[in-house]
Amino acid sequence: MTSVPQETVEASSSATLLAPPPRTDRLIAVASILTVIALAVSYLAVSVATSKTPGSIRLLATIGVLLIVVGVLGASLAAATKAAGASRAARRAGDIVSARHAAARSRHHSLRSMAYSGFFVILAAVVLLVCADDFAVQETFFRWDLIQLSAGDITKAFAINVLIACSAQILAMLFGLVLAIGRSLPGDSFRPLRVLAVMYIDGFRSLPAIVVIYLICLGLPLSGVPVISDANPIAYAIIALSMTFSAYNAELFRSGMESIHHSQISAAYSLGMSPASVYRLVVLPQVARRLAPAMLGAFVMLQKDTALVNIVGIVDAFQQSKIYSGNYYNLSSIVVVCVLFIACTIPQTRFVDYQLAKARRRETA
Amino acid sequence: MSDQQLVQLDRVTKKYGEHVVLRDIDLEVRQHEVITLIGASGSGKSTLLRCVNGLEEIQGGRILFDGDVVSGPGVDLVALRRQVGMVFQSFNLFPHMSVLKNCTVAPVKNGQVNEATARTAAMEMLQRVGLADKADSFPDRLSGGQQQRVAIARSLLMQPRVLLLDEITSALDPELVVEVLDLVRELAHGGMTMILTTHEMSFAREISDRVCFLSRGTIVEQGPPEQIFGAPVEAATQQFLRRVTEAGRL
Repeated sequence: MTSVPQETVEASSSATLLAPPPRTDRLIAVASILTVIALAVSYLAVSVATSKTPGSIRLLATIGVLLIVVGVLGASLAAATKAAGASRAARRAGDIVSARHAAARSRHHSLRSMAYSGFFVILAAVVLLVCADDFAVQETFFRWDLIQLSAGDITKAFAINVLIACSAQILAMLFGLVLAIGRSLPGDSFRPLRVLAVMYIDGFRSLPAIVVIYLICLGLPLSGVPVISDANPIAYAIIALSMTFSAYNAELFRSGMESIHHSQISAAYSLGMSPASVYRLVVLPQVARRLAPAMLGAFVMLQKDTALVNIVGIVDAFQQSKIYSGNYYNLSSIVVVCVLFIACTIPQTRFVDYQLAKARRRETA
Repeated sequence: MSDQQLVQLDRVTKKYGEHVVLRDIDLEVRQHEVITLIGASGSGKSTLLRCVNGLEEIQGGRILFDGDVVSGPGVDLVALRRQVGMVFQSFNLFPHMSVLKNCTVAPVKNGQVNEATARTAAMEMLQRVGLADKADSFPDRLSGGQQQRVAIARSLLMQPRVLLLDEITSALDPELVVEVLDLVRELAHGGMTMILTTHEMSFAREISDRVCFLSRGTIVEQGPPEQIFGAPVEAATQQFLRRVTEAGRL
């Protein structure tokens, strides 16, 4: 006769085989300590930030901030404590399942409170950084009067960045596609073209954009070639950026084209479609969908690199802001450029995400 | 008579590098005939089909379509493929187009019909295969059997003279195989010339005019289904059919 282990006998003789609910008290304790720290740091931040404002506003601001912090963190802590109490009550009543539910809820609220504490601490730290040392950082980077003064001219100059970015992107995508196709041409007879394409792509992916801009914008006029040497410097900048980014786009296109399974191409050919139709109607639309996020990434890089044209004397937004910062020994105008770039880029990324989600919803079950 | 011969393979050899996939294949397909190729995986059945419509190049012999040589350099493969349709094991519908667009894109873009005519013809064909209500759906929303029927409809809309069917039911769940086989049976009775490869032996027995057994790149035996399935001459054929029966597929 086999002997039954003692633990099994004990377990089967108790009312339930469920594990006991997880502990809640330790998390609540940690969350409470973090709440106190967050309150302290927030108070410090608000008092430093308002050290130059009159007493009544200072008092209002301090009370307001503390109320927000206490409100958010306190609500979570209160919920955590309440759920912990409910868990204990349920356990005493023998309802292990409810006890586990309540304990999980309590832990969730404690963790939430800890996360918000972290958020407030980081926020307060940033404010302290900006306002510390008698507002040194804020004075250097965020002087509101200088921002207002320079914003108009800088925004007007930003039009040049936009022009260069859009023109260069069109050219870079067209030439990138040409390079990608050139690189993928099959057969022995096309090898010289393939080699040329690879050399171009490798070369321009290794050169820094700033070097290419310098070479083309200063080199072409210097060379004295008729027509080409007399163009507007902005045209040179567009050419330089197109040449650089067509190399990146070529690689993106190539990986996109290779990612389309050859069975799609077989099927299209089997329907009697010409190679041009196959690529235009079957391959490229699928490639475009797959590449959209990466292509947008390359476009955003291009937009950022338009700021490099200031080295050849083109007065874009960055150059304009440097003029202001040089005149006033202050970097607040640069912050304006930052805001312009960010305000331009974020809607683009959200728009592409939205379009992709829409296409996906339409096509899949 | 050669004017009745639609497809002819004359000592066709195909290699991938040093590996010989098809060896001295001789095959004739007359109009309205249904030829089934059977054999183990790797015996060259799919490759043979792909050579007929020019998706693969051959290294020896020639392929003739309606008396004209269609293998080798200088052949207008686009024109050939408008007369030789192909349906694949993995359906290969275009995922970014609706079912209707999948069906109309080739006739329209090949310059044969205008958009309106193509649409009418496509709706009729989808009606015939029982999928008219799915015309505006995208391939992802259809079951495997439905996708395969759309693929067949899409090929038929090019009005091919020969249809190549490459294991079209192998990727389908058993309960979806029936609807596709019903469609193929209907096409066979309607007189469509077809070359198909399949593992569905009972279906092959039912609709074929001739069955060819391939093994390691050569046609070991060919003849009417009664002979191949009922009284095979070659030992290799007998062995293959024995294995298939044991696997419960006959």
